[in-house]
Amino acid sequence: MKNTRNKNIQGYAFLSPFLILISLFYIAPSVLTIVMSFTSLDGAFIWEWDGFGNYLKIFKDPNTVIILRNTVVYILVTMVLTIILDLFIAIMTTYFIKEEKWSSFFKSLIMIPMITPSVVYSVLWIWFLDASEAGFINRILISVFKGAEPVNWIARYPFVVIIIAQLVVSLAYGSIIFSSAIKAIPDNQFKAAHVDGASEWEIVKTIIIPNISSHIRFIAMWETLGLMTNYINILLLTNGGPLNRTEVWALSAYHKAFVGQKYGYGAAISVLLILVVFMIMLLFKATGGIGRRRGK
Amino acid sequence: MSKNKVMLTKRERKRQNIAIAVMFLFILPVAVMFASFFLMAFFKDGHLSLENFEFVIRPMKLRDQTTIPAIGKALRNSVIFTVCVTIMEVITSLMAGYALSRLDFRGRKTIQGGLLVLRMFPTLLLLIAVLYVLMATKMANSLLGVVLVAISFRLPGSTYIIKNFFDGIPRDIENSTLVDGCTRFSGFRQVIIHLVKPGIVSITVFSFLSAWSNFILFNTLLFGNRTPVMATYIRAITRNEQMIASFNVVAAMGIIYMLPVLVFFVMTQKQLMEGNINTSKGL
Repeated sequence: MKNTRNKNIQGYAFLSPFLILISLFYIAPSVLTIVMSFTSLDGAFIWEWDGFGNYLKIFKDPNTVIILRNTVVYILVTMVLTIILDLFIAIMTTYFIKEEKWSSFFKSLIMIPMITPSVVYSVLWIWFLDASEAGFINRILISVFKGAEPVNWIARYPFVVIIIAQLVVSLAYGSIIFSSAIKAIPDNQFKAAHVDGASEWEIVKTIIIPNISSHIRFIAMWETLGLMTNYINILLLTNGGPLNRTEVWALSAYHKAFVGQKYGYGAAISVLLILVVFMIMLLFKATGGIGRRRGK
Repeated sequence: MSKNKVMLTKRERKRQNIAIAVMFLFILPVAVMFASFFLMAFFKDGHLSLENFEFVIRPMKLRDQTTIPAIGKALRNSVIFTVCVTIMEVITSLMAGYALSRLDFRGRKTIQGGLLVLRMFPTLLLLIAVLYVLMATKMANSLLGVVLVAISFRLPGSTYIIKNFFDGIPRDIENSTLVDGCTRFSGFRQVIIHLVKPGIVSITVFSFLSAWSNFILFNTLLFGNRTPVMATYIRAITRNEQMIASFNVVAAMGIIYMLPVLVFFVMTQKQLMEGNINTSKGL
């Protein structure tokens, strides 16, 4: 009896800093966000009950449709491209390139955009695509086609720009996960396929992809959640503009709250997104999560 | 033929060479982009020069006659921030990970389950309410507040990683420390901690990198320009509406900002990769 009590005390002694921080910065804010979303809290910080007012405002706002469409397209396109390129990189660096020094060389290079601080990374793109002749792409364009006008790439193709910029940073994580999963496939499966005279494409299709399908599902979910909630690169590159063309759901919560000082409205937008995030997590769990690792 | 020393047949070697060439082509555009951006820092008006780095030692006049302060204060704040966050995050997650993996207490299963949800929780969406919590606890607009938030936001992830490392240590080792007269705590300090060193390295790497490059927390939780850090210092002159510095100066700043990251990266590449893999385990 005393023993269990001691054990409890011991456990919570170790856990206390963790629990304090989690309650302060996860649990309290989660509750507050929900409460805030039913108030008209703004820069004056007066809590005034507003019922479903904020939610109604979201549905009535004509921009909501645009933002929703942007969000869905941004997530789907970036996620699908990320997975395809992740698979390509992982197969190249693990299945085709067998020498460790080469494959880790490429994998390290791919990690560099990921570790670049986003403030620097965004300037890199702004410079690369700069509207004047100083921009890298414009300089090439002008030197190749004499008399070509410099193009304002970010203003003209903002959506493509944010997708490509995000894609380049997203690649590292998935390729590393996939490549370690491919490494875990028993060698004799490949040998048997070679003996049977299978082509490389057939090997990819019938051995590699089925073997790592649970990892693909995991990355699909992980990227979806990341793209859905992480707006930092868009904020720094286009700030949602020009004219809401790259505004996504999470970024609009940020804009409403931190730029427009409408904390209640921003909280309502966040609550809706958090609900979607939870649904995706549940869906992933329901479809079996990530499979148990082989051979361990 | 051992598995680690790869002996390639002629055909495999040929395939590998093709793959290497394809990968080079694939990486080329981004590599050129990064390389030419950072090279710009060493040129001024077409000449090789270090003038772009003037901000390192003294306030610097930009091309439109605005003056930016020297980088010293921002650099110092960033270092303090990163060191505090990394150390406290590692200690807190070590303690929590140990308890969740090893100790029996009521509510352990609940917290373990909660950890899985927390790791994927969209923290950025909580920022509005976090700002309110900081105000209520009188920590708004202070570096301390941002430090605590930065630690908390990464805590579930690190705790999860380190818990997996603890799970991998045989219980016998721990029991023998108890038999030999250690208390839980001294056993933890003298023996167990050495066995999870790879895990500690792994979370240290991630914590360092994310703290050093953090921007959004400073942007939303610190107002006024009282506490500049590297990210806000660079951002202040590179907003896309008003690019007041020449790209050469920004590239120079980028180099100063990236240098610790690159050094750290080269030193800990392997752990970084393994750490990445560990985050996906057991979902």
